[in-house]
Amino acid sequence: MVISVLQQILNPQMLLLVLGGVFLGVVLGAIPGLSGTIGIALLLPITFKMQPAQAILMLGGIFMGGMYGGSITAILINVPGDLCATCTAIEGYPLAKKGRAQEALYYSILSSTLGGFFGVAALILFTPQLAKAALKFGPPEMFFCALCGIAVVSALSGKNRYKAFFATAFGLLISMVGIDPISGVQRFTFNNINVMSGISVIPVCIGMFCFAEMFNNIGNKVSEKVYYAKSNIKRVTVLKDILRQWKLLIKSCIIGTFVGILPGIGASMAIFLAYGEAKRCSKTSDVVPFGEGNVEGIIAAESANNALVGGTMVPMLALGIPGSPTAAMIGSALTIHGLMCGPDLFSKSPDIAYVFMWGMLIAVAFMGLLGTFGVKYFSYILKVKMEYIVPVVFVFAMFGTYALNNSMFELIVAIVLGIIGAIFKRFEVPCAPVVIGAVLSNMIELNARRSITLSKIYGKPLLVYVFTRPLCIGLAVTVCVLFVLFFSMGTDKQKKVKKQVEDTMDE
Amino acid sequence: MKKGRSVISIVLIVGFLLSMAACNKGSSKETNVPSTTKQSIAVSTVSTEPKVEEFKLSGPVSMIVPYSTGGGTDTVGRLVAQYLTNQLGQQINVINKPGASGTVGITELSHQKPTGYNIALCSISDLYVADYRKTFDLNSVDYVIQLVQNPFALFASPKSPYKNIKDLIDDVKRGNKNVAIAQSGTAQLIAIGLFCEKAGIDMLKDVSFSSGGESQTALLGNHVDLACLTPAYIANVEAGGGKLLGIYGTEKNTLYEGKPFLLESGYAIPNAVGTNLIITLPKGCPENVRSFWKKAVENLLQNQDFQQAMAKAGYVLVNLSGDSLAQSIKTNNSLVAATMKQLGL
Repeated sequence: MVISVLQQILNPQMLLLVLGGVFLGVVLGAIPGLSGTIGIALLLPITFKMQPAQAILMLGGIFMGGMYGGSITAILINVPGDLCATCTAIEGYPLAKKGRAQEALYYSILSSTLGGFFGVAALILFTPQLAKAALKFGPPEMFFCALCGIAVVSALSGKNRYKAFFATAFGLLISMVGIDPISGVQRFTFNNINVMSGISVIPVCIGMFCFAEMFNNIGNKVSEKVYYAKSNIKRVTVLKDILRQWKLLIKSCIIGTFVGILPGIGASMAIFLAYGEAKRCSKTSDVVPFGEGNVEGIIAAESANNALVGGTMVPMLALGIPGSPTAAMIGSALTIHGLMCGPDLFSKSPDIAYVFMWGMLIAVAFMGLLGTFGVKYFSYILKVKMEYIVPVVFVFAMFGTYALNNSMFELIVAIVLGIIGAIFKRFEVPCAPVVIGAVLSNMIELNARRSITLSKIYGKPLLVYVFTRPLCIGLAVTVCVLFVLFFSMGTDKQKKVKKQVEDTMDE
Repeated sequence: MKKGRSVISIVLIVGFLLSMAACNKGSSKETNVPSTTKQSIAVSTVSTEPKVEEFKLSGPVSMIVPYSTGGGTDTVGRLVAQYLTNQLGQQINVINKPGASGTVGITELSHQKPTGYNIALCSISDLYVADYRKTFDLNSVDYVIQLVQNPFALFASPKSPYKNIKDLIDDVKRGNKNVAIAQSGTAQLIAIGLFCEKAGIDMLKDVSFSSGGESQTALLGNHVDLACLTPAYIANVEAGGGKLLGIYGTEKNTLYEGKPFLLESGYAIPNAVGTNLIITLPKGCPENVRSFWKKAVENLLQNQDFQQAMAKAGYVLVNLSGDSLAQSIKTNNSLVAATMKQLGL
């Protein structure tokens, strides 16, 4: 079977499809407002005419490419192509402003490639074990995982923690709008059928990042040409630097893969966790503070976001449970070909499962090649004046918001949030916590309520029900530790800054 | 420089207009209906019966699927669209319009013009719930033909002691109140209610999840004892160590040959709720349009490749239209309303 799998993968038509998929994913991921997910949704009908293995591998290539693509515009114009590139924007854009755009892009692609290999290797080697581990996470465990996400907000707070909490609360509030899925009660719906379905994360993300950034740049006559500097940085130098920080790399890849296997937790959580952990453990943050162009942030974020592609496919292939809406679409492509994801796939058509898993390694390799040799061309975007970039980004962002769910309402939400986001940016309120709040809101509330319901059904007091589960105890301890660490991180820095100011005043 | 700037501006404006046009292609305001399709009712001067022209498609059709891409109904919608495209020779485009459990998309259909070029695939169980809650009017669209009638099924977790449905009923009748069942929608809650009423037991205590996948995870991870899911999950649940306790329905269907049915134990429950997919048109379509789509779907149902594809995906095909469909909708709607009232939903 190994030979037949290799024959299928190394078929020129298959390789071309994978390359096409990866290229499309990178382009769509890069365009603000669009993402790999939209590409998969739009291309789903075309895959019907293909062989199942070809279809699923092309879609996997788009998924992988899309995860990397978002970082290109994140670094160059501070507009993350999708939510997963937010942390890359926080670190990469300051680097671009310093004239080190190409360096940032190299860090991004090389970290993405290494992370992608890690995630796919985990998919190939450990799918059964990882799937079993994923099943151990019930409602109480998912509640604690979501709380870990809130702890990370502190790491992303930039200068003012209170503004970050305000932003998170705003995000939690946005997600509350709609019909409560458990009790059917309407919250802030004003009897409008569109509002009843709630405000989904994509318009929040596009509004807060793309529209807000572009609104802020309207009338910005400063030519961006000053940021384009021909850089002499060598790829090998960057690669050596990344490998030198192998502990950070491995940690981020593990976080990306493991959080990716948990269905429904939201891919972005893995990236924020990896970034937060990098910030906490960094020894260079005194020299180059996070938020002003510390490459460790890029390494952590980019390796995590490509590692999680492999992770999200674990529950899909092993259990038939999609770990994310994107994985669900890939699964749907298989169903249309008459193949059900899950153990059935491994027993009835194992060659397709293995072609996919091994083929994803080729997809990562193609992504690495495309990205590494494309850096020079990507950075030409910096030569374009902002007055041309703004309308183009507007058009694509509007199209991207509408395209997934064909909803004018979501477009209006994105524009309104864009205006709010622009105001936030003027007042230095960070926008990333808004999106974290919106993503986590449902997870925290629904899992808490499910845990309460289950404890009532099983006749145990809530705390007994939760803390007699060993995994919950471990996760609760982790949450407490994370909160303490991330909070003290901010306080330590504030004390240092205060001391420096006092010292200079004394002098 | 000025010339260059104006060229770029023109390119951008053209690009913008093109992308807006592309967006509009599938939009609700149907502006791309070719004028040649204007139907005329020719009245023969000899016979007294009006001769109605047959409706012919001469452009693409938009099919609204009121659920997100990747879900079960979306998969069926895409299969139907693909086969109908080949059969009719015109492109059938799937437009996903998710929201409010399927009502956003169908409400939008009800506001569209009855040209025959816009159809929808609705899952009517969700619409019964919305009609009861007065967030949707069941009579606002035209139900042409039902093509899928999938039942629900009850499953037990790997660690639960239940090997069949009788074990469960006996355990509950003995007084065991600590039984949790996972569901992912009001339709499934109603199905659970219908089963409990038939079996003469108190309503099982339910835990609400956001999707069938989440219910399956909770079931296989032993966080709940039971789950109400569609039969598409049978293979994966059994592979994960779970047990199929019984499939709903008033008759056994051959797709689930050899699997336990609830009716075998005496609990024949009609599929008032389940995956009941109906091809729907906006109200006010002329009769020739309705009969065109009815015939098209009937021909589709005869297509062996389509039958095989749907069987592999785990969907039971039916062919219900006209008066029998209208009667079925009325009966099932009353049953759902009565059950919702009884359950206090």
